[in-house]
Parts: sequence; structure tokens; C-alpha cells
Amino acid sequence: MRPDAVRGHLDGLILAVLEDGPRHGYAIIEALQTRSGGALELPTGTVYPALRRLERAALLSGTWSTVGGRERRTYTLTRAGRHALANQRADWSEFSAVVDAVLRPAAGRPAAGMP
Amino acid sequence: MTVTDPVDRHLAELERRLSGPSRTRRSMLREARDGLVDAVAAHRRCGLDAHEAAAKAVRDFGSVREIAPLYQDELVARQGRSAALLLLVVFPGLTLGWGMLWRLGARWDSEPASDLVVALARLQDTASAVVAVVALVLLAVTFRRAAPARQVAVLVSLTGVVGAVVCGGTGLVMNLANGSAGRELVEANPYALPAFGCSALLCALVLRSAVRTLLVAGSPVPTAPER
Repeated sequence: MRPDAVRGHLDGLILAVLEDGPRHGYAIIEALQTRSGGALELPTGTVYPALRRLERAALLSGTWSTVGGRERRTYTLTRAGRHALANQRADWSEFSAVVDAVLRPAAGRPAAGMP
Repeated sequence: MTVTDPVDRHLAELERRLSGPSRTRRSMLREARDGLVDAVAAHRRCGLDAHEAAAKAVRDFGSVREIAPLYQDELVARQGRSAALLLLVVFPGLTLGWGMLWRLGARWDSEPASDLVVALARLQDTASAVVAVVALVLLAVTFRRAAPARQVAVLVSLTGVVGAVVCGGTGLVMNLANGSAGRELVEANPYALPAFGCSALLCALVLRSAVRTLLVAGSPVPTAPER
């Protein structure tokens, strides 16, 4: 999948992979790749500034903590982040349903406008 | 150390392109290094040798030209936020501090203050309040992910400069207009001299922060991904 296509949805994707629990940066990247079946070809360096942006917006909280014997910056979804994720899901469902309805081949569409 | 050379080179190049609050910058670069070290380890587990693993991790990370603007935007946003926070603390703090001083019995002199001094004092209070309100609004804007970080930072800087110049300037003119009253106030009230010193220091801090924020907001970064 083209990086440009993913970029506009990156914040929502990050919020979604943090829904299960706290993760550090590289674990978030691995989760994005695993959950997309390896289809996301985003430069990994774009994820770290996005995490800071989400943290600045209070959707994530980030702290340095020891994970596996190493100091890592670990991110947790905040209450505002869960709310933003729910909104993003609803927006995406509505958007994808509309686009799908328009893009669907004419043969698969119910007939309309004829008596 | 050949194993981390590509990683070190990449991060050094990224660091050279960034300017902004040093604590956040160091933290972001440290996090990027952690991620790259994790990526190298993952590629080595897949069978690549050390140098190939490091080179692949760097390629996957993205070019500095592509990534640096994203890091810089965040640094500008953080710089703008801390500058706004400083304004929000300093200006109401100055108003409150001088208010307390007057309540502790400080007086310019026994004569009623001249119309000019009264007008300047009102202007100073109004300017402080306006700066605080604007800083609060701009601080709130920094919580929006899509906020234009550079424009917000520039507005914060200009607000700080205007606030410091108006409040500092009116303070200076009030003292000059009152003749020897300033000296008498310092002699009569032990808190007056620290209050003057503190006010001057805070105005200087605001100006320093404003200049730094303008420099960070205006720092040139590449905007187009390299081909």
C-alpha cells in the first residue's frame, strides 16, 4: 500500500494498535505490519513523530520505562485517545460504506429509478 | 564500530537538521535510536549480517529529507507550547505580584497618582490580561493535532514580545513620570526592589523565549521527499 495513502490514517492506526495495551515505538511498528499482513509500507521513521503528536494532543501518554532490560519510551492510550479511536472508527465505517456503494460495479447494485 | 555505522550516520544527519527544545529533541532522537536498534536486531534474526541489517533498518526508517520535517514540526509545536505556557504564568504572575505589593502597603508617594500614571497602570493591567488570554487560546490550539505549528509558534512569540515591551515600557515610563517616587518606594518597602528586579528578569525571559521560538519556527527544513 502506498505510503501517501496510509499517512492520512496513521494516527487512527496507531491508536488502534494501542487499544490492547501499552507498547513502545518499535512494537507499535511491528503491530502495524502484523495487523496489515505486511501491506503497510510506511517509512518507520514517520511513526515516532506521529506518536509525539498524539501525545501532545493528550490522546496518548508516553513515559520512559524499562522493558526487557532496556529503557524504552512506552505509550498508553488515554481516555481521550479511546474516544478519538471510537470516532475515527465510526467516520471510517461511514466513509468506506459510501465509497464502496459508489465504486461497486453496476451489476452488483440494486436497480433504481425504474418503476 | 561498523555494525551501527549506518544508524549512527543517519541519526547524526537527522540531528543536524533539527532545532528546538533540547530535552524533547534528545528524547526523540533517543527513541529513534532505540527503534533502529530494535529493527537491526529483527533483521539479524532474519539472517542478515550486521551491516546489511543496519543498512536495511536505515532504509526502512526513511530518508532524513523525508523524516526531518516531521520531527521538526513536532519540535516547533513543543517550543510554541512551552513559550505559551511561560506567558500564561508570567503575565498573571506579575499582575498578582504587584497587586500583593500594593496591598502590603506600598505607595508611590503621599500625593494622588497623576492621570498619566493611572492611565499607564490601566494599560499595563489590560495588556497583561490580553496576553494571558491570547496565550491560553494558543496553548489550547497546541493540543490540536492539525494545528499549524509554525504559525502558532510565531503568534506566541509576537504576543510575548508585545506583552514584554508594553508592560516593561509602561513600568519604565511610570517610574520616570513619578520622579523620585520609585526610589522612595524602594527605600520604604523591602519588597519593592526584589519586585522591580523580578519584573525585569521575567520580561527578559519572555523576550528570550520569544526570540528562541521565532528562530525554531523559522528554521529551514526540507519540505519535499527526495526522489
